[in-house]
Amino acid sequence: MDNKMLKPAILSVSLLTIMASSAVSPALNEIKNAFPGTLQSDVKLVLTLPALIMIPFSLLSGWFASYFSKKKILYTGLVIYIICGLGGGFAQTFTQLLVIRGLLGIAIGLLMPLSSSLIFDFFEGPARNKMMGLSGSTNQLGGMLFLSVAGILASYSWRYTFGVYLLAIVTILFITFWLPSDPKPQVTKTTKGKEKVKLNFRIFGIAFLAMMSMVVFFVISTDLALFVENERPVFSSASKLFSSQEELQTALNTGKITDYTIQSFNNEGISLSDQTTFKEIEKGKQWKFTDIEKEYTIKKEDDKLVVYSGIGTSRIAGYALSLMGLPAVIAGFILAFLLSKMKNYLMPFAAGVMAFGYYLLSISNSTPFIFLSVLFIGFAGGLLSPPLLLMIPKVLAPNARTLGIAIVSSFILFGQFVSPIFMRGATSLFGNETFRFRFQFLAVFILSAAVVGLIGMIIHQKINKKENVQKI
Amino acid sequence: MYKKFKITFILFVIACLQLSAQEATQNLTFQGFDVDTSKVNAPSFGIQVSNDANILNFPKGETFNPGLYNNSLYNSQIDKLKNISSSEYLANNLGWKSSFWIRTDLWVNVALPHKTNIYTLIALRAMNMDSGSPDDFSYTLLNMEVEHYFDKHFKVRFGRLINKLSASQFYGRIALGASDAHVFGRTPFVCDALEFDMNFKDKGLPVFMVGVKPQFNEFDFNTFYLGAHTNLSPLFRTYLLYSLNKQQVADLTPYFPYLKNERYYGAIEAEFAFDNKTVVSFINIGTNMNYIGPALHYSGARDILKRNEPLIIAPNSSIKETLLPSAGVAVRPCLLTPKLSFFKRAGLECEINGLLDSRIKSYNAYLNLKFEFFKNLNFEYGYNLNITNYNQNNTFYVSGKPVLYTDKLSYGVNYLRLCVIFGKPSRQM
Repeated sequence: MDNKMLKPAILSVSLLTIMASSAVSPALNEIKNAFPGTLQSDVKLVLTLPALIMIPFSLLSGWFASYFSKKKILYTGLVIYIICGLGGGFAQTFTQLLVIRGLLGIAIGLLMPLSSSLIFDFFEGPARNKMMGLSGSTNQLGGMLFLSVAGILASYSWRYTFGVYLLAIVTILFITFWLPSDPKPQVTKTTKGKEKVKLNFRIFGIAFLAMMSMVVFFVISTDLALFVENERPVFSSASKLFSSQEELQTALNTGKITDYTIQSFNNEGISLSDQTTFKEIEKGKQWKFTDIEKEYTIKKEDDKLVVYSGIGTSRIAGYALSLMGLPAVIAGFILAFLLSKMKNYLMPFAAGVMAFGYYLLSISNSTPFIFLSVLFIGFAGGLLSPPLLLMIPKVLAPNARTLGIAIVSSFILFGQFVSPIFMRGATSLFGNETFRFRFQFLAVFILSAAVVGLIGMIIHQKINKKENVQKI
Repeated sequence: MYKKFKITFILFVIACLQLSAQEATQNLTFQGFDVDTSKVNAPSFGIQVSNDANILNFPKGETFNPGLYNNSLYNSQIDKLKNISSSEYLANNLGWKSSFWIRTDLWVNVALPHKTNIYTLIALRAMNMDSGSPDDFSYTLLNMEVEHYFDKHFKVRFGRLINKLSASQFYGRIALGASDAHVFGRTPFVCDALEFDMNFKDKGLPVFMVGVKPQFNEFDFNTFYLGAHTNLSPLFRTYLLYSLNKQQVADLTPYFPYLKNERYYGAIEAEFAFDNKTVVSFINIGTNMNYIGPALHYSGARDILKRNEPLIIAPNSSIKETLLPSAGVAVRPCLLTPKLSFFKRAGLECEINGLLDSRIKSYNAYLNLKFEFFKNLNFEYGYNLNITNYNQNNTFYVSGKPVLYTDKLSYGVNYLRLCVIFGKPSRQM
């Protein structure tokens, strides 16, 4: 058995999990067109349904690991993964597609806890820290790879996009050749019968922290595009933006504007280029002008037209969110180094970096600042989860670790659904729903959590020291 | 059994990467790979992930010169030019935008027994992961090369080759054809070719290369090239390249409607470089002979003169009008002191287009800095400045429509790259 290849074999499982459900997102528009009458919100289920289904099945995977070898569970998961992943491309109706995607969620759920659990089985100490970081990096890397390949396949046909799941064949080959058959099922038979899997209650504390990490991290995904597009009102106009009703109608049909509109904006100190396009967002209520890299949203408020200027376009927000992946990869890449230097203080440090990122975002008025902010947030996001997962072996016996990982992973996924509710509650409480306030609130909230955590750690260390001195 | 299966598996991965490869070399991204030709044949498999940003920058102090002859065009643009420079105005009309993307490079290089090597490199580029639109994704096959050694002196290479003989980090030039000869950015020179190399370094002689570049839409050969490179001493190296290139009638008829037959022109380029590991410097000069058509390479990294380049009409004057000297220097601070081990490279390169052309002068400068904060975790910054001066005002057209009347253009592009490399590249990145 080639030991050098054990790491790639384990990491190849990480490559397939986190982003697997969103891998076909480049084909979403095409899928909507392929099934006429499907609502945009329903089409999104193609991405979100597997994420929902995988929560219970990741817990089940943890339980299965007590009875079957992990390699068998991996094979089962991977076979379902390939069949159901690829199967989406053969769907004839949208319902069929959703059912197949639901089944894919089962596969991802089975695989997800195993990628971390195998690291605990085969690695100890600093090597374990390093592998856990690399596993986080590989998750992100998998996302980039899947989405890039899927995007290219989608340019041919939405059906081909599902071919991206064939990458799992590489994982099957890796685990066949290079993953040892051990470890055995984790429930060992004793003279008194089967040894029970015992869960330490502290696992739920870790899971809660992991969930909250996701709650605050996920805000960037849900809020950034809206923040970038509709940031602030720049002027309200009582005068017309088009010379006549006919000109407005022509602009709506062609998407092009005339010198009259350019002049109207110019009167307010805003320079529009000839490239500016125009479209109606909500009939009679909301319109949008898109210039080279800037958007202006026009809203009818009472008798006035209020012009809102964004920092950039939704594309800029999309770029920014896409760029967040690499800092997360880097975070995993240097996790072991940071853990060796900062030890338990890494979590408060990461929280501090995230708080700084959100604060920077709250005061951003230009694209470079937004990019810088998301780089900090992405980096911190990549640092938060692995240390929490590394706590699992400290609180759970080996036979309960896979289940522990499944619980923590499920809570992390659950955090994505809790995030908007949490933010709605927070903004309602303070009566301020602007994006800048939301980001400032998060910065203060995360920083407070980091400070509380830090103080708790220092007190805990002092108590430990005292106890040790008393023992001596 | 396992060994055979492993080789089959690796070949399978290569085949997957090769599938449906995009042909267009002109879509190459600016960031890319330099090939260290001194290293050969280490098998490797790896991934490089990068965040790339190309941020445009237009000098604000640039004044708009209306000229004397085209007042109507001037009047229509004067209001629009209140807030932006004329170069920015032209760039807007060309649809330029600052761009950001994630790039994933995958490579598989395999040494097959006993004398054959295969190199594969594909770059996947994603602009906006969550757009739901395939338009935001693209890929380019940068390298798909089979190399076979006959003995230690002779080898043949075919496929999509990567060549880089120049010490330049930016221009990556090699006089192997009009479209490929001058590739801006940290891009490798890439060409589809069949090449034969003769290496007599052990006898104190140069390495000779000779090759042909085919075209595939209607099978033919459009470039023949030959070159030699050698180390004059451990510190000095030089190369000389000559190519004979075909000019297609269809490409020339927009400029020369009377032209009925395809024609050929020659390109020659020489470089002399000094490299003591800590400091690298070079001077390079190249020109085209018997060339007609739009002048090449004046436009800078983003091609601001798109279809507005000065025309070279007389084949005899092409040597003078396409003469392109360049020079550059780079230092590796990491080798100066261990305290600067993170600072891998700092370089500055310049070139002058139209040195002997009375109609136009175009200057390109490139500053590049490379840092490695952790092993295989790099940050690179580059800045390209392009300044173009005509001897008189010109009307600039975009899609056949006049949009600007000026004699001076200038712009800059900032390149930022943050990248992580997994695996060991046998070819320097």
